[in-house]
Amino acid sequence: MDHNAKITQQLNAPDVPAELEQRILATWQAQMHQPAKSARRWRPGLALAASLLLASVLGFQTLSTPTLVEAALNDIDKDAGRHSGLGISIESLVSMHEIQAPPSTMAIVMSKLCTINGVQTTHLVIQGEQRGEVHLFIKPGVFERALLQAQHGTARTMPWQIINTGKDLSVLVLYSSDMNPDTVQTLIQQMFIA
Amino acid sequence: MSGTDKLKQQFARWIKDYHAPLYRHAFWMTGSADSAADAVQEAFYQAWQSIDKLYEPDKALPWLMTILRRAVYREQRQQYSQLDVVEQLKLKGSDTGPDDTYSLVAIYSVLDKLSMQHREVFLLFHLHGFSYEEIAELLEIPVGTVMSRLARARDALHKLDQPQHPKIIDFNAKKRGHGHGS
Repeated sequence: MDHNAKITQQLNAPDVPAELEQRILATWQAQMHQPAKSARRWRPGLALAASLLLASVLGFQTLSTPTLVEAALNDIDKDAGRHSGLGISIESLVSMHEIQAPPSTMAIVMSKLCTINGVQTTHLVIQGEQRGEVHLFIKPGVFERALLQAQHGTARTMPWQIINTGKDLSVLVLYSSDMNPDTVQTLIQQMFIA
Repeated sequence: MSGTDKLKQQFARWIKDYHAPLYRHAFWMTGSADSAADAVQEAFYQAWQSIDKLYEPDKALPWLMTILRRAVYREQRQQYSQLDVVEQLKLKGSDTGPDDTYSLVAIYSVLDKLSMQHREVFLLFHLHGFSYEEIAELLEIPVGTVMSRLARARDALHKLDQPQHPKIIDFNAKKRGHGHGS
């Protein structure tokens, strides 16, 4: 085999993730089904569970940060200061994940598809009304236990936690240390529980 | 079948046929499997958003490549040389046996030293088989620029085929019946 043929053969060597095609198809299917579906039923039990979990995050430190959370933090650092706008429209987000828009006082300043540690998520950045920001990594289904040694903690000054919404949707929530935890709780409740 | 149904069928086929070459292009451009997957997903997302701007369906791949380029440049990493992708390529291995001249890691390390522009032209030619004219049209640059960037990239890769150390002439090799050089 000559030099050029060998190069071409090797350029074609990297494996393509087996599930990539299905993920693209799934996103496209969701994209086609706009606008948003009807509002979800209020489920106070889940809201209480979510708020209790959030409250327990304060002051709790994990001994080691799960690799998934580290990957999310690396992605946050990569995009810091250059929020690239809404790669995915609000309508698509709501339709894709069957969620509600955030409170009107908080704005989604970035939305994009993001793979962290091999897990496909939708990454949203939501700014607080006066200060701080919340990062949501949304995934259909649940995060694999193997990727998570804990369900909440603090890493690189950012409190984080996993929310299982009960709608076959999981969310990795991270927020800046200057965000009011009650505000984060309200945000999660409105977007995922209500 | 309505026009919309035909378009959807066509788009589904493009996902099936082109997600792999687009992924590999993004992989070599970004040096990251995760970034490559994100870039390809975003490319198809944006492609559907702007499907009405595709006037020549038989040129879907160049059109998708144009969209992918924007996604790739957004995913461009601060540090191109990433330990994780080198480890991934090592795990992938090579079929070149004991001679690692054409190993994936060796190719990656050469591409790493090229600018994004040179790397891009090289991949469009060698990975996707586009002609000089097609590459010029896709990148909106003169054909001459395509040729010079390709020559530069090929020159860097060609060095893979050469000995990495100064040639030591073994005057006794001929006597023993051994040749030197390739």
